[in-house]
Amino acid sequence: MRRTVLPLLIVQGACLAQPFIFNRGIANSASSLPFGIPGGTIAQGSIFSIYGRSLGPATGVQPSAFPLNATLSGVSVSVTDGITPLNAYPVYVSASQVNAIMPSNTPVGSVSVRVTVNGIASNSVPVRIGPASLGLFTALGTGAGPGIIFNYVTAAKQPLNSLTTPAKPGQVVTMWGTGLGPVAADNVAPAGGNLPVGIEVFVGGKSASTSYHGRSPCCAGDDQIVFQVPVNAPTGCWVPVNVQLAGTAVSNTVTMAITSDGSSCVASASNPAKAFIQGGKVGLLAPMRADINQSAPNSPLNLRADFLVARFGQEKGGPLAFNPLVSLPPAGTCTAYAGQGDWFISATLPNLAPSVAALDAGGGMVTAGGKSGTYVAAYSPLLLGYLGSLNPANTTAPDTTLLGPGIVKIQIAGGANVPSFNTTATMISPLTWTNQSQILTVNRANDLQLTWTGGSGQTVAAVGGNVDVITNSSGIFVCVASPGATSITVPAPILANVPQGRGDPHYSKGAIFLVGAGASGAFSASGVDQGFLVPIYLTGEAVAFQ
Amino acid sequence: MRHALWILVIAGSAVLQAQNPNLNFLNNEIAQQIANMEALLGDGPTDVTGKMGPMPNGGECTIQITVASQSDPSQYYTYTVPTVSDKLCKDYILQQETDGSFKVVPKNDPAQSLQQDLNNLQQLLNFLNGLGGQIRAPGQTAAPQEAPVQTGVKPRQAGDSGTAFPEVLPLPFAPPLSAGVAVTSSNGCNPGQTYLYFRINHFDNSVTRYDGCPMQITATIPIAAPGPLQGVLTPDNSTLIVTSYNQGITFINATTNQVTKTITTDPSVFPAGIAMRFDGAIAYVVSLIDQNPVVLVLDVQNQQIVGSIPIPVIYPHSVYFSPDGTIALVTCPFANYVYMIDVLTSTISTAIPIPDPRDIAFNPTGTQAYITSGVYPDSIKVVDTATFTIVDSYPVNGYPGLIHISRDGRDLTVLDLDSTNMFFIDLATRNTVTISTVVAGGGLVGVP
Repeated sequence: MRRTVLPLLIVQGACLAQPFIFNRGIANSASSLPFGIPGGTIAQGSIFSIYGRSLGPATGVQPSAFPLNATLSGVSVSVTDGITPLNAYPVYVSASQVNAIMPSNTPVGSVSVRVTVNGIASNSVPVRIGPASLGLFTALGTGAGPGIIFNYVTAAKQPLNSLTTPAKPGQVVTMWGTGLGPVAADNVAPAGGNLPVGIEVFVGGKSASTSYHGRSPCCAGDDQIVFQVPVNAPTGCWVPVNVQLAGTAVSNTVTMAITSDGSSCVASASNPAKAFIQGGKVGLLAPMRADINQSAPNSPLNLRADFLVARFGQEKGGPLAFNPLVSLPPAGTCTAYAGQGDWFISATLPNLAPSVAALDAGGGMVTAGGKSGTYVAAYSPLLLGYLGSLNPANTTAPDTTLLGPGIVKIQIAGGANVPSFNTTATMISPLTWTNQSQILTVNRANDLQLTWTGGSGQTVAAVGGNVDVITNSSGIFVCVASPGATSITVPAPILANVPQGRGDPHYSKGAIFLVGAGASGAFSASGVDQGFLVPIYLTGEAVAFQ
Repeated sequence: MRHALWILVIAGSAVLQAQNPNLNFLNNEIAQQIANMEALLGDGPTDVTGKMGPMPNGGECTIQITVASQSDPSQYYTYTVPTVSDKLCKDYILQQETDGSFKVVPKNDPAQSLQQDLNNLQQLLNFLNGLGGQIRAPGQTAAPQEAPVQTGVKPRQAGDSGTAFPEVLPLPFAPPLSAGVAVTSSNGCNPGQTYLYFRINHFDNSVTRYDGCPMQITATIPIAAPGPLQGVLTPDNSTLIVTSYNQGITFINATTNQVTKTITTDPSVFPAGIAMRFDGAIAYVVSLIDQNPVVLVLDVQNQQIVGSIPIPVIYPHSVYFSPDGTIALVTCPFANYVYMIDVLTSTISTAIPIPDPRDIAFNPTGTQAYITSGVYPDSIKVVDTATFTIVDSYPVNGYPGLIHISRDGRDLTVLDLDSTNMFFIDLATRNTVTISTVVAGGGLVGVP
C-alpha cells in the first residue's frame, strides 16, 4: 500500500470576480478630473462615473422613475470608508460604465467603491470624497472645451451655447454641472433651491453674478448655475469659464462662445482656428526653438532644442469644434486643463488629437543657418520632430541646433496621405523673460505674473503646469497676452488644478514656458485643404508648484 | 554641497528568497515530518531515505523524505517539501546525519568576507549609477521623498559605469536625447553625496550598515528575533524596519543604530516580505506560510500591528505598494498568483494569474507593474494596473529574480538568479543588454 503525505499544494482558485473597476477608473461624471488633481474630489451627492469591464448589462440601462433604487438592472454600487457601508444610486449601468449618485451622507475623506452585478462583487477602488467639488459638463464629454451652457433668450428659447449660437455680454445663461454639495435625499426629484456653498463664476477671468446654484429640478445629482455673462467679459470663440467654490476647490475649466452681438463666432482667415472650425484636412508646421533652464534641486542646466511641429489631421469642424492647440483663450485671459496621464511625456490632453483622423506626411528635413536636421517621424508630445540640441554642460557633444533667426527651409518627405512638398518660414527672435529667475517656485494660491521685453509683432503666450507622476495626473494653464503687452497674470483659480509639487523632479515635473509665436503664414500641399506656418520661440523654466 | 541619499536595504540571505533558504526552519520542518511519519508507522524500526533535486518534469528543486517500515517496506510515507527555486539544488545538499536524520546544508560556506561583500556592493552600485538607476529596497517602491540622484543620461553599454551626469529632466520641449558630461566622480560614488545602505544578515541575525564613499561598515546591529529577512526604511530615513521569519518585526533607529522595539508576532505568523507606503504611515508585512497566511498592517509611527489581511493562497512571498499607495500587490509564487490589496479598506481586491511571480517594480506613474516570472522565455510580465491584465512581456535569457525600474521609467534592470548576469532592458526599444561584470553572489540578495 502506498500512502503519501504531501503538503497541501492545492491552489485555491483565485476568485476572479467578473465585474472589474479599472484602477483610477472613477471620476466626477462631468469633469473627469482624476484622483491626483485637487478638483478630482468626488462631492457628496454628485454624479460620478465608474469605468471598467463587466460592470452591468451589455446595453445601457437608466431608471425610468423616482425614487431611484440602490439596484438598477442587477447592478448596485457600494461605498465604504472601511467602517460604514453605503449604497450609491446608479443612474446608468452598462458593461463598461456605471454612473451613480454618491450618497450625500458619504463620509468626507477616502472611501472605496465596489460594484456588484447580480451578486458578484467587483474589486474596490478608492476615491476621495469632499462636501463639494464641482464638475462642469462639456459638449464633447471630456471635461474640456465647450460647456453645457444654455443661452437664455426666453423661457421657451434657450439654445446651447456654441460657435454658431454665442452669448452676448450681459446675457443670462444656465450652466450644468454636478458636485455643488449634499442634499436631504438623493433618490427623489430634487427640491431645488440654492445650496449652501459659496460660489464664484469666472468668465474669461471676470467674476459673474449668479442668480441660482443648486440642483436642477428635473434630475437627481445634476446641478445648475444660472449666471449673467459679465458685461466686460472678453469676446471670443472659446472664452474660459470655471467656478470656484468656497474654500479653494475649483471646477474644471470649460469654454463658451461670446460675441458682442450674439452672431456666429468667426476666426480670422490667418488663424489656424478657422480651419478647425470649418473642418477638413489641416496641416500645421511650426519650426520651434526651446531654451529651457532646469535648476535646483538638480544641477543647473541650460538646454536648447530645435523642433519642427508637424501636425496633419482631418478635422470635423462644426459649432462645437474645439482643439487645445488652436482654441486659445481670448487675448489677456487664461484657461486650464487637467486630466490623467503624464502630459510632459505624451500629450494626451483632451481633444488634442485630430477629431476625424491623423494624416501621414512622413518625416522631414529642416535647413537653416547652414545646417540641416532630419527627423523620421514626429513624436509626442505635440508631434515634435526633433532637429537638434545644445547642452552647454557637455563639451564633447556638438551643437546641432539650427533655428536661428532667418529663413528656414522645410522639406516634408511625404507619407500615405500627404505627398512630399517644400516650404519656407522665417524664424523669429526670442523674447526676454525678465522675471524668469524669480519664478522658481509658484504659490498656487496667488496670482502669477510673467513679464518680458521684446516680442514686437508676436503673439505671446504663457504655458505652464505640473505632472504629478505618482498619481499619473497633469494640470496645465494656457494664457494669451494682449497685443503689445509686456506682462500677463495667471489668476489663482486657473492655477488651482495644477497638482502640487513633491520636491523632486522625478515625482512631480513643473515647468513654465513663455512662448512667442510669429505671424501665421500659409503653405500649400496636396492632401491638405489648408496649411499654416507658425514660427515659435519659447523659453522654459523648471519650477516647483506649491 | 548637495547631498543625495541613496538607500539600499539588502537582505543578505532570505528564506525562500530564492538563493538562501532559512535552514533552521527547513531542517526543523524535515525533522518534525520524519517524526510524524515514524509515529504513523507505529513503534517498529524504520528506514529513512531522502533525496533532493529537480522534479522529474524539470521543475523546481524538491526535497523528498521517505520513512519506511523495516519489517514491511511496502508500508511507507513520503514527505515532499515544496521548495522555492532550483537555486536550492544548486547551492545546497541534503545531508544525512550520523543519527539518521536529514538536513539541508550549504555545499560551501555561503558567508563571504565582508570585504568581498563591500566590493560586490560597490561594484553593483557603480553599475547602477552608470545606468542612472536608483537602488531601492526589496519590496519598496520608489518614494517621492527620496532625494534626487545626480545621475543622468544613460550610457547604454555594458560596463560603462563610474560616471555621473547632469540629468536632462523629462520636461516638455527638452531635448529627447542628449549626451552627458562627467561631473565629480570617484569610482562611481560622489564624495559630495551621502550614501546609506543596510544589509540584513539572515544567518547572523544582524543588520550591517554601510555609509560613505567608498562604502564602509559603520555599524552592526544585532537583531533579537532570529532569521531576519527583509527591511524597509521610512521615507525620512529615520527608522529601519526588519522582518524576522521567527516571529519578529524589529524597529531600528537609523540615526543611533539602536533597536527601539521588537514586536513578537503571533506564532502562526512568519514575517517575510515588507513594504512601506510612500507616505511612511503604514507598512505591510507578509507572513510566508501555508497555514492561514496573512499580510500584517503596521502602524509605522506607533510601531504596532493594526490589522491583518487574510491571503487565500499558500505562501504569499513579498508585497509592493503602488507609487500612489492606493494598491499593493502580493506575490504568491506557489499559487502562481499576484493578489491586489485595496489599501484603504485593507481587503483583497482582485488577483491575476502569473506563473511563479518573483519580484515587482511599478513604473513611476503606477500605470504598469513589471513582474519577473518563472516562465521561459517571456519572463517579465507587464501588467496594466488599470485593467489588471497582462499587456506585454519581455523575454530574458535567464532566470530573472529581482527587478528594478529606473526613475524615469525607461529601463529595467533585472538580476539573474542563475548566474552573475544582469539584464538591462530599454523599454522603448526592447533592446536587452546582458551584463556579466557584476559579481552578484549570495551576498547581494535583495538588490533590485
